[in-house]
Amino acid sequence: MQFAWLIRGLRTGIMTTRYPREPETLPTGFRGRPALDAGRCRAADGCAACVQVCLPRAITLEQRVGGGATGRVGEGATEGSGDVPARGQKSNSGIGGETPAIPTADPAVNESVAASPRRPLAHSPTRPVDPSPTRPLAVSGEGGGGVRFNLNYGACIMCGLCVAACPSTAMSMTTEYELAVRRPDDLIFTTTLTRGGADGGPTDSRDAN
Amino acid sequence: MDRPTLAMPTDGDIERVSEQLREAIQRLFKRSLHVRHVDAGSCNACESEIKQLTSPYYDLHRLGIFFSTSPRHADLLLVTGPVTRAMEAPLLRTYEAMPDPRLVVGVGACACDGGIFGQSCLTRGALSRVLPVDVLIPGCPPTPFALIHGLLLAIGRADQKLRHGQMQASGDRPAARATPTPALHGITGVEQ
Repeated sequence: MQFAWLIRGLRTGIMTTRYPREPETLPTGFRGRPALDAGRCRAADGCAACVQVCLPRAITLEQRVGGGATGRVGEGATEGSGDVPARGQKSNSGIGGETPAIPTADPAVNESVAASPRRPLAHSPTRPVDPSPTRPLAVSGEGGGGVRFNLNYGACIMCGLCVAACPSTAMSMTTEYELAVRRPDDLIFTTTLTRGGADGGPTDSRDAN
Repeated sequence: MDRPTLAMPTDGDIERVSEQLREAIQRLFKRSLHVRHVDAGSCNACESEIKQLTSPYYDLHRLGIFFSTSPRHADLLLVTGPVTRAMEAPLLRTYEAMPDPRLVVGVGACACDGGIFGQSCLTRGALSRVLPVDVLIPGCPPTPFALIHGLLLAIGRADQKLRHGQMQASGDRPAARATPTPALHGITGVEQ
């Protein structure tokens, strides 16, 4: 009896993962963090498909009014959002290398518009709250400053609805799961999108789409 | 130099001391860490993943991390859930019962940001409103691999990959070894 148990154990071998020493390859279809290809995103042209389907309101869009250095953070924005654009500018060299960023002297947003008519599920320092439920569904980049795209991985439940909804396939699911951070601010992805082509904005891969 | 200048440390001083403190704590916990898990109003999905850590596949014990049944024996507080009103006081009592130095790790979208529960009259909405958080592990629920990474990050055995929402290349971990040590794999050569 015990001998059979031993044989079975020897035949099975070691099942334990070697994860911390070797990267674990997860099965296809595993949903890790969603990532934005900023070059293909059409949020500045009025698209807010991902914002509309995002269940935990992890994705938000904010309007930036052209280059305004005199503006202050609107009432809709909450504490801590003042330094978010600065990080966004810094991170523009990453995923979508050719992100058309608008560098402004003052990163403060003149007007903060959360592009969803729904009431916020929660109010947190990392999530903008729209004070009125009659906000426009989508924001446009007509103000000249473009649209700020925020993705809060702390709120994201990796459901993949934004990927399914994205008409320009800018959102994609990755299999990256090592998302633990020391500072909550590191969970927030921010980038600035501007309108392509028509208003003489920077040309990028968005036009080819 | 007047007295307030002498008495008040500068930001640089505080930063340097806190960095030294963090290194000392990580040195203490590097090889043996006892974890106390508190469910502060979670939906139990995170608990399901945490329970898997003790299974033969993930086997957290091989990393020197153990689950403790008492906060007095614990070094790290693992909190799931958005911290409901009813669990706030027990959570704080648990934290106060732990000996210094202690780490706090929030697990799941609820502990990070309120998650599906959000902030209301019944929940605090995020763990960081209740306790000083050392590491946050997002996900709904995070996979056991993400939990292992978060725990190792808390004790300085892993690098933080996500910065400002973007993944960065790992620094400490070598690339995947092409030929794993044969002795550590199955005796009959079964691939993992």
